[in-house]
Amino acid sequence: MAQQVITAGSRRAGRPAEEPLVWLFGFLSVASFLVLLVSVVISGPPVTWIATGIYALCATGLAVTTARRWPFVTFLLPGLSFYLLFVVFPTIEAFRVSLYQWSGIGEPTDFIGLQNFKDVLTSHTFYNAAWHNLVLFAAIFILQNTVGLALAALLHGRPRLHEVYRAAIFLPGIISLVATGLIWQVIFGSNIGLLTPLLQGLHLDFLVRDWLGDDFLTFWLLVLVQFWQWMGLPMIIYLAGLQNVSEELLAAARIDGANEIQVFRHITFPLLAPAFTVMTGLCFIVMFKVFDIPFVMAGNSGSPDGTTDVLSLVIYRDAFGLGTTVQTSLQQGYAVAIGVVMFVAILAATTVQLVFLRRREVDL
Amino acid sequence: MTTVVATFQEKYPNITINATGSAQYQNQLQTALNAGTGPDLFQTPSRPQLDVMATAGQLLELNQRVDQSAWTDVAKEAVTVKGKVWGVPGGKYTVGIAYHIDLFDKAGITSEPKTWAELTDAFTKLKAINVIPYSIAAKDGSLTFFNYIGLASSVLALDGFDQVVLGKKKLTDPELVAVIQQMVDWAKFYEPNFVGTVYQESKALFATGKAAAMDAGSSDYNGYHQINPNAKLGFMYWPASDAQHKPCTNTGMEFIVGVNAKAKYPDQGTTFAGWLGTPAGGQAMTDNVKDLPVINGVKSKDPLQQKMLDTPLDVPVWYERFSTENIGKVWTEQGQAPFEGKMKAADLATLLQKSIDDQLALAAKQQ
Repeated sequence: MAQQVITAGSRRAGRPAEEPLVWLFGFLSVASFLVLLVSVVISGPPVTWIATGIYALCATGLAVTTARRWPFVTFLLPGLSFYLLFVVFPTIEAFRVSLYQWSGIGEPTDFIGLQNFKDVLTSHTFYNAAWHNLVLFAAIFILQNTVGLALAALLHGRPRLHEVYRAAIFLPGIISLVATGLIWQVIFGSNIGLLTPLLQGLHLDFLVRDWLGDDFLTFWLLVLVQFWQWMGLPMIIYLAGLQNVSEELLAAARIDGANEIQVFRHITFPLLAPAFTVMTGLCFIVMFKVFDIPFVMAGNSGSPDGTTDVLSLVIYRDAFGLGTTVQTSLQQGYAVAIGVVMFVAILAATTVQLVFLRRREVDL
Repeated sequence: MTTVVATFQEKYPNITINATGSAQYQNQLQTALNAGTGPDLFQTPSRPQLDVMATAGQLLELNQRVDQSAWTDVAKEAVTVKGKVWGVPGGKYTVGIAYHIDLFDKAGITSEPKTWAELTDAFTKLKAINVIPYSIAAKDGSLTFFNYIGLASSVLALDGFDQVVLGKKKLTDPELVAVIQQMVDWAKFYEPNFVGTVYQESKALFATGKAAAMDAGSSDYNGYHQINPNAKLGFMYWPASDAQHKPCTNTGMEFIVGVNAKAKYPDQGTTFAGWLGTPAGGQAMTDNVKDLPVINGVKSKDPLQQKMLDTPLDVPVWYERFSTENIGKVWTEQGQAPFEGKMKAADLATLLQKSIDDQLALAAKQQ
């Protein structure tokens, strides 16, 4: 009875006094944030600065009033505000801009509805580039799950100097992508390069090719360079996955008569499924967004003959021009539409991938 | 440009001009202008993008603010949109063929080729002395584009070019398809692996004397001499298809200064821009920035530049016209195929013409 009285008494004490203030500041924060977004679109400084100041005040009020009951709000607000303002909002704006015929100069004013999307989905250049992204993904996917995994397995055995090998293999991954592209462009340069004079010096002239001008070779050299730059990451991820596989399980399997291939196939590989899921998803996203190495090595045009063209290069050309001494018309609305299509396609594909691959993950 | 600014400030000590730039200048500038900020003064793109900036309200109209009396007619046309002046012309560039005088002498070429046949003969002689006759970069399409418009301009002359711009003359006409075919036929005189060669590599090959000639603009000579200060270089006009046509050059506006419509100091900005359009400013630009003059009475002290100005026929660079603006894009994206035997010259001509037709259709829709 006493306990009930105490409990009833606590209920009768009512909700915390600051709760109306929480609602008030919450509402003001959302409203002022929306005003800020509108001001960014239709206005400029100093209006946007004022709107930012008002939002900051409201958000601070919200943080203070929620500090006692929900302290995580204080930590969440800055990051969330930044994310909404600089990631989510521009993405939504991109959808809006893609509905306009817009050169990128001034405000978009010529509304054309879904015409840009129609042009994208009937464009040979778009499908050609998307195909190259797909082939690039497939090639890197195979290489990372063979070469990358093999390297991880070798390093897992902790050979002598394994830390040195690990660092050396991972090193290309921390070099700037532009620097990587430039280094390999110099190596493969058609006339003033390193590989051609080297082969000629070794009397291997029959091996000399137009490395960056050959329709077949140039693309596969790009794949090679991209993998050289990328392979440290799958190696490290798989190495971490291998180190999480229980030694007792492996020992038990060996005691039961399993050979090394059987152990790998039935124990190790299934337990690597989480790492496999992560690497597959990352590989897909990165290879569909790839830009730096093709841009530097093969040029803005996806040359020769569009054989190295990827979606990011198509977007760049349409949005910012050829990047050479030649001026062309700019179509930023169309370029943004390509970006929107890419976004939707990558989102759909990675969602399907994750759902499918998660099912095969094995929990210990 | 720093010297030009210093010369201006001797006359106007109360106005401070800070000249800056970057590799991503155009993109940074456009972002700033779209945001309603940006510098008081900036170098604008040439037409037709200048037209778009003017329509978007990013430029201050200068009709009553600057003295245009000293400008050449071509310069005035380059900055005038629908009767209003939106920029001040600071200099122009001309494109033709740069060549090594000593290599030509060594090959026994005694006069500059004026026709395609004479150029072929010159290339043959150069090849006989084991030098690359002509450096061209097909990979990024810029040099092949300039080669095409140069040679095609000599076929068309000004009237023909105007007809192309209006869609009345087609790039698929046989004499213009012949331009592409001639470029393909000359492939044996280009450097090895030219399909995979980029502009910078092509420039280095020429500047270091490994190649005897390449297409060049007036602004390129500074860069050649930076690579090779001892290079003795000449300039020749694009050779004509035959003796009935004239050799020619292509010219574009190198430097146009615009005043930001939302400038913080519009009067000071307008004063500097206006000064550039005077003989004093024009001479400072020609002497220091090495652009060709666009102001009447301004002379170049460089004999090579004077030769460029004395061209028998000058046709605008094709991307300064709305309908021919995307020819370069076709050369960049598809221009390697004819050299690899994967596309006929006529098929490339069809693609080039399509880019014109698309622009004309867009212009009709916008009206």
